[in-house]
Amino acid sequence: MHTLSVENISKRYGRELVLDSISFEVEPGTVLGVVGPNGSGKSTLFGIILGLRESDSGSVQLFGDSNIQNNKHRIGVAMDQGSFYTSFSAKRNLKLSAIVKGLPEADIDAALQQVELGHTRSKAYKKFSYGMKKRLEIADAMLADPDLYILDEPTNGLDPEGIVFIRELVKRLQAAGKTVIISSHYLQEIEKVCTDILMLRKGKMLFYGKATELREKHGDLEEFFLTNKN
Amino acid sequence: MQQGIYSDFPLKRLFHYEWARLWRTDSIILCAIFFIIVFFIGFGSSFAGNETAGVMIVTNGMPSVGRLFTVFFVILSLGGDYSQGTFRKRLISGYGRVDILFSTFWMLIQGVLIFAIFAFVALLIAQFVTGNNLISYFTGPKLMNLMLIQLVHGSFAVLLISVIQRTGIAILMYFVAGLVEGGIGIYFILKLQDPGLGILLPLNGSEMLASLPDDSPFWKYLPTPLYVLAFFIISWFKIKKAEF
Repeated sequence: MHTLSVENISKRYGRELVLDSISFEVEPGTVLGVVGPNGSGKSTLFGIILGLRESDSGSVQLFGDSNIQNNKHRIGVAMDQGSFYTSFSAKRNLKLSAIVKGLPEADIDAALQQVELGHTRSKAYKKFSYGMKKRLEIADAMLADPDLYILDEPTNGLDPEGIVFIRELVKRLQAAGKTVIISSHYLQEIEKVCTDILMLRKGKMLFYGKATELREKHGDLEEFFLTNKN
Repeated sequence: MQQGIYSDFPLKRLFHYEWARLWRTDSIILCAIFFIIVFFIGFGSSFAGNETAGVMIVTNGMPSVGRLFTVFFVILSLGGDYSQGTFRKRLISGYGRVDILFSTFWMLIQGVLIFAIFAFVALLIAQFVTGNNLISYFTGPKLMNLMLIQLVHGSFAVLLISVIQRTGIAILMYFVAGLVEGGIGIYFILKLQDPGLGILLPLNGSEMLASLPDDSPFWKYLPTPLYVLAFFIISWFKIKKAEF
């Protein structure tokens, strides 16, 4: 059974075709990198997978079930834009998440420790640095110990130390047998951690397959991306 | 992997969530403090010997402040959800849009009930202090009307924030709507010579219910509940179509 199966997804905003017949499948334990420039359709694709947006055509199956709602508790999501109450502390925000997900509060401290935010649990979210906000998003995703992680631009705007932290975290998740879907602009970062690559440009799928296959056939990711610019 | 919300009644968790966040939200706390201050001003006036002013503040001022409190409460909480991305987070967690809208209305109804209890207790205390028979003010129809006013203003606030999604503009539009209704009311009085038509307006109409004579036709009681229903349905369509 595939962790995620996307079949012929298309989406239009007005006359603009944002996603054009996108199909791919994600096996358990895979780290899939979704790469593409701004406006390539990455966020729209994530929105459709998560049930936040409706596609015009095609279907999505999560863990073999076309009703996404049935398996949302098996997904941990870290969105690019923050989704916490700004005046609440990190711990209070995660406590609210735990309430919504029906999880014990005891897991909160462990999740904060895993992203090295244990010492700032009482600090208000609005006082967090950009990197800390990203880590809190990931701590939130980790709360329910999900099978599938969806990380939307987790390294976007981070300093080198933050990028290394995310890379190591993804490797840890993979070692624990988790499936990870990660989007990024940073092609080199994607190459370092991903087993599979999905490359989008203007809503079209330029490449989908193993990262090793891409390297063997087309050299490195950056070169392939630049040669397929138009 | 843990079972999460699917292991028990999901809406119960959503209600728990609403309570856990609202009473820690600065703007909501400020509104509540303002509400209590108005009560104590009325109370203080009674103690200072100006019983009429004190009674007026408690009986008329508190419902007005309570109505504003309800509107601010709804717009700030839902507006915060839109701007801070927490609406989207709950959708990702597995809740449906209708669940979130329903929990907002449930909180609104609870808020209205809490307000009614608070107003009753305030009047009881004011009666005890002033010696006036204030509790007679709180007749069944008056109480129902008070709650209906809160409900219609609150559901209108849900509609505004669902459509506009911006806290400041939604609050501004609430006051603009009040002014527009005031203008229409004046038109009914001056041009049509029939102030009774004001009952057809959503916000002002709800406040005219209590003063209706006992032999009023049935249709005059209908607009306000219909507006609440309409505001709920339109809000639902807006939230259903919204992309997060």
